[in-house]
Amino acid sequence: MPHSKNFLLSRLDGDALGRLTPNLIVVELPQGEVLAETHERVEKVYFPHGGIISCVVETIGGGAIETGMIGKDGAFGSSQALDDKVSLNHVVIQVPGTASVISSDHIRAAADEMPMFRGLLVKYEQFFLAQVQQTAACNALHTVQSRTCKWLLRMHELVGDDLPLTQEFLAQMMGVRRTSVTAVALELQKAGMINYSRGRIHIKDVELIRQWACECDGDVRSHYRRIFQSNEGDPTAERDD
Amino acid sequence: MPRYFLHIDDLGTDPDGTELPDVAAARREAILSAREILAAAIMAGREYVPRRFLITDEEGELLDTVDTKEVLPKVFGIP
Repeated sequence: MPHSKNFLLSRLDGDALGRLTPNLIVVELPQGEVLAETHERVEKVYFPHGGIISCVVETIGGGAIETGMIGKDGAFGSSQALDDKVSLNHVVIQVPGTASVISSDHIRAAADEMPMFRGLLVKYEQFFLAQVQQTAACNALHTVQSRTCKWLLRMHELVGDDLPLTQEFLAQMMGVRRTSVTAVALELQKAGMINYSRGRIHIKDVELIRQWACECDGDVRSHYRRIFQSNEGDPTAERDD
Repeated sequence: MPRYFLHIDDLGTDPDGTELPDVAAARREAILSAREILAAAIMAGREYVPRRFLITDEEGELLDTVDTKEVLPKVFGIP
């Protein structure tokens, strides 16, 4: 069942998933595709099986910074489906993958019929808000180097060792100039943590990256466990100490 | 648009490069990058910063350099 590759859908019992399945389709998430623009209506809900969807806040003058990322641990568009349907920021596919997709109308109907499913979506929104709050603190207080390491840890949990990312893209996610990312990447490479070639980062030593990272990734993972009150479905659980 | 590479001396090479209209634009980008890297290094309490930034084309030919010293802001009272 491809839908169960998403941790939210995997938490549904057979009946609940069976209720959704006729309306779920599996789609590719191509890198760089924009899923929603700021204030644009969101008509679909995405449950990723892999890859990363990024929420990016853009400022006047061309600045941009990532404020939240959604992978196989969550969903994009569920809160809009339950209520307002409008995206509050620019949402783009950062790392390609696949997702189970369903229309907002179907999600709303299913949530009305199945309180447990609605509860699951609300739980994820709570987690997402916690992640965004942590990101706000991290972006204001932590160095580019420790933020990059934190970001690599999160990517490693959601995607794996090989990350198809250009420095340009990474710089936009971190809200810095590209060459700042080059400087950090070169230092991490020298320390044996990553291999960097054009458009690709290979993670070599995740434990060393953890030592250089700020505490924010660990905090976000503990929020996930607390909110879902179990290690089950936590993509990070097996790596947690 | 041509692609320019901004290498950081003593640290390593830039594998990606950036598309920019001309060398002057690459130099401006290098200056802004050097300032950002310098500011981050100072705020983090680093002891060392890169000496200079090298601008090359796709063939690796050196087109210009930006010394870290040149990107420092001027001191009040000194033109």
